[in-house]
Amino acid sequence: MSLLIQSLNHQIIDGDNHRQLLVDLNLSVAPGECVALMGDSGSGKTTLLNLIAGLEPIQQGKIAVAGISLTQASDRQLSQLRKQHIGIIFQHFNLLTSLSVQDNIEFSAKLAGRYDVMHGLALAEQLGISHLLKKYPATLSGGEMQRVAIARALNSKPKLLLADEPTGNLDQQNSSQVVAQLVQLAKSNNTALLMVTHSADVAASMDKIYRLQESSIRLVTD
Amino acid sequence: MQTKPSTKTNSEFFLVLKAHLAEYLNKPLLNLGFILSLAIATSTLLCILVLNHASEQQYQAANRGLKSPVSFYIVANSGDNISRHDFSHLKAQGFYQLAPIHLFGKTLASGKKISFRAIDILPLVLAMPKSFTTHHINLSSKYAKALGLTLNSTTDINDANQITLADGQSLKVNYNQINDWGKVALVDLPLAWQLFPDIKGFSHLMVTAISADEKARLAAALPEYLSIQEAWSLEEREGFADALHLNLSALAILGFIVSLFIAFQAADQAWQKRGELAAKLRLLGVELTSILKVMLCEALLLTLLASIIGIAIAFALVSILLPILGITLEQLYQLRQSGHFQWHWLYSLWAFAISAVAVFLALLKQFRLISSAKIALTARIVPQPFNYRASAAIGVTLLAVFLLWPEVYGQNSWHLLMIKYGLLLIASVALLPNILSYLLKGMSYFTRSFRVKFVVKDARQQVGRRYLPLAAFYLALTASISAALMVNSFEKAFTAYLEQLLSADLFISYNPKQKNKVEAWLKQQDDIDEYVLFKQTVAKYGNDTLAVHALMSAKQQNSLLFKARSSKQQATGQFSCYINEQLSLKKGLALNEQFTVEQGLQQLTCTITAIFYDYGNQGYSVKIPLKAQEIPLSGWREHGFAVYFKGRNNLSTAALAEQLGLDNEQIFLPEEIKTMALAIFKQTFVLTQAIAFVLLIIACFGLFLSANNLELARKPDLHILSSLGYSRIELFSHMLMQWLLLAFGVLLLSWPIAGLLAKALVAKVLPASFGWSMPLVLDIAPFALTSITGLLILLPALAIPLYKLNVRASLS
Repeated sequence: MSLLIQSLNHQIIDGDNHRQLLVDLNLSVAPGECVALMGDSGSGKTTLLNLIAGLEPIQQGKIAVAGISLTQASDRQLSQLRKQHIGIIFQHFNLLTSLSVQDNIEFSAKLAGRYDVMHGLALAEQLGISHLLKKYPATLSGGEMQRVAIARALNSKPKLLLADEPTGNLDQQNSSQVVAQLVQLAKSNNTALLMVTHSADVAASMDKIYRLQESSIRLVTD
Repeated sequence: MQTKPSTKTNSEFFLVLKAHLAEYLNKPLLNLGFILSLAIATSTLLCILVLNHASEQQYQAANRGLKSPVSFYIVANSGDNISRHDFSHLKAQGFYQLAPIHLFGKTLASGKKISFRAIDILPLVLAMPKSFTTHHINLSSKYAKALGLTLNSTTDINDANQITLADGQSLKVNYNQINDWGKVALVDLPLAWQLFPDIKGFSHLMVTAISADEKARLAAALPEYLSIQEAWSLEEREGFADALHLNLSALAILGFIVSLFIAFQAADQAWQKRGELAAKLRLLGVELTSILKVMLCEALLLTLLASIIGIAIAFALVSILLPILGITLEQLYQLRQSGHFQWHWLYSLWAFAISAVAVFLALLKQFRLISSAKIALTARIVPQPFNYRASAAIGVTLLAVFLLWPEVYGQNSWHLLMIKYGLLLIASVALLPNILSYLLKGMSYFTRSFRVKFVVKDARQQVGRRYLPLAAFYLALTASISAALMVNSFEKAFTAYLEQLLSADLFISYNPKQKNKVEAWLKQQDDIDEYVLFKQTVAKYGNDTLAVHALMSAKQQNSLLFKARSSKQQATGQFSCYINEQLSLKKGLALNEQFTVEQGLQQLTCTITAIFYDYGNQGYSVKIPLKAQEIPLSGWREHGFAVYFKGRNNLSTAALAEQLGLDNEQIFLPEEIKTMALAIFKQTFVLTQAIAFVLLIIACFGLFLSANNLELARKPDLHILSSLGYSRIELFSHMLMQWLLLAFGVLLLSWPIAGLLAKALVAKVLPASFGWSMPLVLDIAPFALTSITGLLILLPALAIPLYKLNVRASLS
C-alpha cells in the first residue's frame, strides 16, 4: 500500500474546548490508485493531509506511507519521507518564485537524489509546459503554475501524491484539463493520489471518492 | 532513462543555497535596507567606540604633555631673592635637581615693559646653537612683535640687533623663531647679573620631580626664610576632561544598546522574509539542518558586507567628528592636538562582532520559529502572537533587580551604577508594549468618535507588530533627552559656579616685593567697594593633603556655591569650616561633624558648617571663614587680591599694570576668564551633542525601514478598508495617526526615564567616578527640543513609506 491509515484519532483545541476531529479513521490507497477526499469546511480534510505529510504530530493511531510508519518518526525522518516518497500539490502552487520553471521542476527530483533530465522533460512535454521552462513563476497563468507544480511533484517519482484542492484557483476548463493530466500521470507513474476537493466534477475523475463527515470517513463511490 | 548519482547531503545544501541565491539574483535590492541599517548601526557604535578610544589615547598623550617637569618651587618667604649662597648650600647637600631662575622686568625706551627670564641657558645653546646664545638677550619673534620691536631677521647670531631700555642702556639681542617660552626674553644668568647689577641672586629655584622622602629631606634642609611652593597644576581642567570622557563612555553604552536594537530589528525583519521560503522548502522535504546551514552562510556574508560598509561609514563620521575632539582638547589643554587617529585591526573585529551579535541573535529567533512553528500546507509559518505577559514578566523582573541593586560609591564603581541604570532602561523597553497597550486602551475608553475609536483600537492591535521599531525609537529618544539634560545641567551648574567663583571685577597677583605698592594703590581708590586677599596653606587629614583657604571677607564666602549648609548656630570659641563635596563624599563627612586637620604638630579642629560644590577639582579643599592670622595653621601663601568696584569700571589692565610695575599677566579680568571658560565648555559638549543627535537620526532611519516593511505587510488589511470606502487620504491619515499615537506613548515613557538616567549620571555616576556631583537642572527645553526633533525626523520616516503604500494600493 502507498498509504495506510489505521484507527486514526485526532482532536483539536478550539478555545477552551477539545473537539474530536477524526475518530477511528481507516483508509488505504494502493499504488496508481486515485482517491478523492471530500467534505464540508472544517470537517478535517486539510488536517488529515497535514497528518499524512508529517506536518502535524499523530495523536493516536497509525499512518504509513510506502510502508514507513509516521507514528514515532523524528522530524528528520519525516523530512526524508516527504523528500523521498511524498509529492505535494498545493492550492496556491507554492512554487519557488526566484527559480525558473525548469529549476522548480528539477528541484524536488534533485532533492530526492533522483534527478533525471529526460523524465523531467517528458513530464513537461506531457503537461504542455515545455515552452515555459526558462520562464519564472510570476509570469505564468494559474493553470500553467499548477502544471509546473504537478511536474515538480511527480519528477521525484513519489509513492504518494497529496493534492490540496489543486483546482481551487483554476477556472472550469483549466480545472478539467489539469485533473485529467494529473490522474493520467499518476497512473502512468504508478503513484497513489489522494486529492482533497470540493468539486464533484473533479472527484468524479477519481477511482474512489471518500467523504469526511462527523469525524469519520465514508466511501461514497468505488 | 539516466539517473545521475548525487551525494545526498551536499546536493541538498547546494540546492537550498541555490534557492537562497536566486532570491538575490532576482531581487538585487533584497536586504539592501537591512544591510544598510545594520551598517549604519555598526558604524554609529564603532564611531562612538573609536572616538572614545581615540579621546582616551589623546587625553593620555595630553596628560603626558601636561605633566610639568617642575614638581615644585623654592621661594623666599619675605619677598627677598634667594642668595647664591643658599643655592650652593643646598647643592652641597646633594640636591642636584635644583635649577635657579630669576624673573625680572625692565622698561624699554618706547615705554613698554619687557619681561626677562634668567636661567642657565647652556643646555638650550647646545641643543639649538643657531637659535640661542649665552652672549646676548634671546628674544622670540612673537614677543618682539608684541613689544613693537622691528628686528632684522637675517642677522647672524653673533651679529646681534640692539634694543634700548628707558634708562638708555643698550642691549644686544639675538632674534629667534622659538616661541615656546611665551612672553619672556631669555637671558643667561651670569649675563643678567653682568648687564643688570641690581639683580641679585635668584627669584626662585625650580625643582624637578623627586621622591616624597627626598622632598621631605629638602623641606627640612631649607632655612626658615625659604619655603616650598607647589607647581601650578591643571587639575581642574583634567577633571572636566575626565567628565567629557565619562559622558562619551555613557553615550557609548547607550549607543551600543540603541544600535544593537536597530540592527536586531532590521535583521529580524530580513529573516522573517526568509520564513516563507523556509516553509516551502520544509514542505518539499528539506531538512532543518540544511536550511540552518544555508541561513548561517547567508548571515555570515551579510555580516561581513554590513561590517565593511559600516567601517567605511565610521571612517567618514570619525573624520568629521575627530577634528572637533581635537579642537576640544586644544581648548582644554592649550595643546596642539592633531585630531587624527590610527586605524587598529581591533576596530574591524569590533564592527564584525557588533554586526554578528545582531544578525545571529535575530537568526536564532527566526530559526527557533522555523523549527518549532507549525507549517501549514499554504507554506506559511503561522506567526505567534506577541506575548505581552512574557514581556511584562521580563520588565518587572528587571525592574526588581534595578530596585534591589545596591548603589555603591566605591572607587571605579561607576560601571556598576551604569549597569544598574542600564537595567532600568531595558526594563522600561520590556514594559513598553504593555504600557502602550494600556494607554491606548484607556484612550479608546474615553473616545467618542467611531473613527477615532477605530484608529485607537487598531493601533492597540499593532503594538506587538511594531514593538521593535518603537523600542529602537524609544531608546534613541531617551538616550538623546538624557544627554541633552546632562549637557544642560553641566552648562547651568558650571555657569552658576563661574558666576560666583569669578564674581570679582579684577584680580591682581603679585610677588612679595610688589605687594606693598599694590596694596597702597588699592587703599587710595575711592571707587573700590572691597578688596579681598586670597591666602592658602596645606594641611593633612589622615594621609590626604588638603588645601586650606582663609575666607577673609563676606564676598569670598558668597563666592561659594553651597550644596548643603548647616542652620545650627556655632558655639562661641569653636571654629567652623566649609569642605568641598569631594572631601565629604570620599571621607563620609557630614554637616555638623567635628573635623581635625594637622600641620606638623599644629592641629585645627572645626565643625563642618557647609559643603560646597567644587566641580572638576580632583583634590580636597577646606575653607575657613576667618582671617588667616586667626587660624592656628602656618605656611600661608598669598595669591593676590580680588577687587570689587562700587560701580561699573572701565579700567585698562595694561595701564594699571604699568602704573603698579606689574606684568600684564599679573592683572586679569575675571569676566574674560568666565567667557573663555564657557567657550571651552561649549566646545567640550559639542561632541556629546553630536553623538546624541546621530543616535536619534540612526533610530529614525531604522524606524523608516521598519515602517516601510511593516506597512507593506499590512497591505491586505488596508485593501479591506479601501473596499469599505476609505479613500487614500483617509487610509493615509488612519495609519499616520496610529504611528503618531504610538510615538506619543513612547514620548510619555521616555521623559521620566530620561530624567532618571540624567539624574543618575550627574548626581550618582559623577560622584562615583570623580567624587563631585552637580544638581540636575530639569528645564523643559531639553525635553521639548529633543522630542520635537525626534518627531520631526520621525514624520518623513513614516510618511514616505505610508505615501508609497497608499499611492500604489489597489484592490487587486
